[in-house]
Amino acid sequence: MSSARRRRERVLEHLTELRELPLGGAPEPAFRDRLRAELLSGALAEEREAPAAPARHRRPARRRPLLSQLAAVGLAAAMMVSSFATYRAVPGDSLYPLKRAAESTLVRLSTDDAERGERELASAKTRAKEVASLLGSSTDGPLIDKTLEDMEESTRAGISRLERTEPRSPKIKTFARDQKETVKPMLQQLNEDQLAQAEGYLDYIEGLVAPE
Amino acid sequence: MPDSSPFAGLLAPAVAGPARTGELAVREDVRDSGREDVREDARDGVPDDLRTLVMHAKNGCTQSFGTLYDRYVDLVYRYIYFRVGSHPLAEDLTSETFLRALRRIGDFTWQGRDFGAWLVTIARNLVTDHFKSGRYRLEVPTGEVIDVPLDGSHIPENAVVTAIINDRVLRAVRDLNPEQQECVVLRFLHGLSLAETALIMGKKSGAIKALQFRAVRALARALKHDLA
Repeated sequence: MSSARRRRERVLEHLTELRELPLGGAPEPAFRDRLRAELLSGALAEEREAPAAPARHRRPARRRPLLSQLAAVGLAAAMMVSSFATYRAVPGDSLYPLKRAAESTLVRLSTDDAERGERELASAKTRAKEVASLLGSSTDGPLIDKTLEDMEESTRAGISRLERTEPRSPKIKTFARDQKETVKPMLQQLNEDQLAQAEGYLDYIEGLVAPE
Repeated sequence: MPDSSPFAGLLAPAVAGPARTGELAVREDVRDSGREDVREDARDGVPDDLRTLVMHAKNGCTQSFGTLYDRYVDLVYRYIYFRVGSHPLAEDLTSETFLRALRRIGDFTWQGRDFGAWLVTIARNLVTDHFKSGRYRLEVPTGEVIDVPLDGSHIPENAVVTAIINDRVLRAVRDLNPEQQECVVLRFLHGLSLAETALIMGKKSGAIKALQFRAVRALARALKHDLA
């Protein structure tokens, strides 16, 4: 008989001995009796089936109550509506600061300068559209001034960043053309100060497009 | 001694009677040839009293279910406790196991020839759900596995030596891979038969036999110096 087989047989003898020894880790008699009584009285089953009953055991109930599901759906719907309202907000709206904060966070989270520049230009486009939507209201003069300033600030920041990282990027030219098409039709509806500001802005972006 | 299966005697199925955890735990040694016949008789079927108890429990007899509970609660509890290493959690999962068993006993069929294996399968699934992993680990210290008091002057010296060897064997078991570990614990600590172990581990009996052989071989290698 080989020594390996002898060793295997000795291991088996020890394992067999283990089987014959009393095992530890037995349940407490109190637990054993309590569980038996609960099982036989059906109390445990009823407790588990009643959704409002306090959970005695650690395992969470698999099925969520209908009320919490409805609450989750309602909350999700409310979040969607408020997100849409925030996205559509213009200067003067209560959700507008939230929109700007989200936009600013997005710009700050950019991974590199080129991406950040593009996001700043996107903000400038959004400001231009906001100015267009504010036109026609006699009370929105200060808001238009402020939005025009913000538009110019975002444009200059975005352009300088893009020119530094991608000097010949076609995105600059495309932006200038789009922005010109948005701002130019507004000129007739602007007051004197706003007009001067908008014309200065148009001069700046026209300078970005190299002559054909 | 049989050559191809040195542990053939250990693979014999259970016979009826109260033992470590019920009728599962009584195993005959192959060398005990005088008891071969008893083993053969038990091999073909489930003891009548167990069959009757299960049949009554399936028909809604709570007292029969209570008797089954008394018979198997230690097996289920220990199986869980050895895997989770915490008494409060073992109590929770044991409660859940018997509650599920009570609800599903109508669907029980004699597959692995024992009711205990069915309960351990439920317990195993609950432990797996709890830890989101089916990986087996013996979670209790080796000293807690075997309940032999070793303090006091009346304890003979050889008992202490045996306890030390047992401790080394258990430590080596803990170093086995998860499947081998589970196989050894089910077969040798909980005293389950090949068929029952196969049912619990979701394998065929032949695969359990091979798994056990590899486990014993690995243990023999690991304990080479201890068993010299």
